[in-house]
Amino acid sequence: MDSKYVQQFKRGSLEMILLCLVAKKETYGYEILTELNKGSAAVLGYAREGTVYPILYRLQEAGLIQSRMGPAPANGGEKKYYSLTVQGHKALSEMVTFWRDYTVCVNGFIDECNLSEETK
Amino acid sequence: MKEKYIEQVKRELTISRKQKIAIIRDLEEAFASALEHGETEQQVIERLGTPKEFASTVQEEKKGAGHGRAKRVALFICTFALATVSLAISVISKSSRAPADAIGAADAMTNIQVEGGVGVDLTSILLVVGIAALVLTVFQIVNYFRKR
Repeated sequence: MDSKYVQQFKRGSLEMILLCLVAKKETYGYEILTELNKGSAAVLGYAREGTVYPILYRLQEAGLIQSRMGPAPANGGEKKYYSLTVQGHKALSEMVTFWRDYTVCVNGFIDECNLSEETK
Repeated sequence: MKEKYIEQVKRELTISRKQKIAIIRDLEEAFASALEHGETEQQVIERLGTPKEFASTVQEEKKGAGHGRAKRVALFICTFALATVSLAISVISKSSRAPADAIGAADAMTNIQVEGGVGVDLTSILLVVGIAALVLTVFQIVNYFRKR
């Protein structure tokens, strides 16, 4: 598919996907990246740090996620652990509600447009 | 290899010093985590893209506050111009002014100073403004080199 469309779909959904990953458990940059790629690389393409970090910054700036520095036992350094704020929980559930209505709505149009069987 | 990459990213970032430190810290963590999971520095660098690419995508969000290069340059030019103009005017008017007790009998121009009125000497105000602007200009220059 034309990568322009993929980009547009991604832009709208990646923030919500990252919020979901952070909501699941307290997590850090690299783990977010690997989890994201595990679940979406085949469809959305392989995500890189340059894609994920700006979104994390944006979400934190908006007060939807928070971070704390914690020890990283495996390499002796420190890691920035992200978790959802109360505001983030609220925003995510609103987004999910909207997304469900949205997909039903879009699917409705798709079902009505009579695409031939092989492209369905 | 990693150090060189991070150094290049640092040079490409045009945001405030504080934001730069935060991004570089995150980048170092990205390398550390990836190595911990068995990736090589080369693999991480390939994924990150060129330092220029990485810097421009990652700072897009952080730049929002309006600390862009253009704004900084404009501010610098304004304060520098203000310093130059006000200092020049105050110096010229001070040097061409006759002493306070000189009145009449001048060879050329008669310079009668009217004391009082405004109360505060305008050239002194200009001098203060000029010095303040000059200090601000120097501060910006120092800040610029500290960020690099």
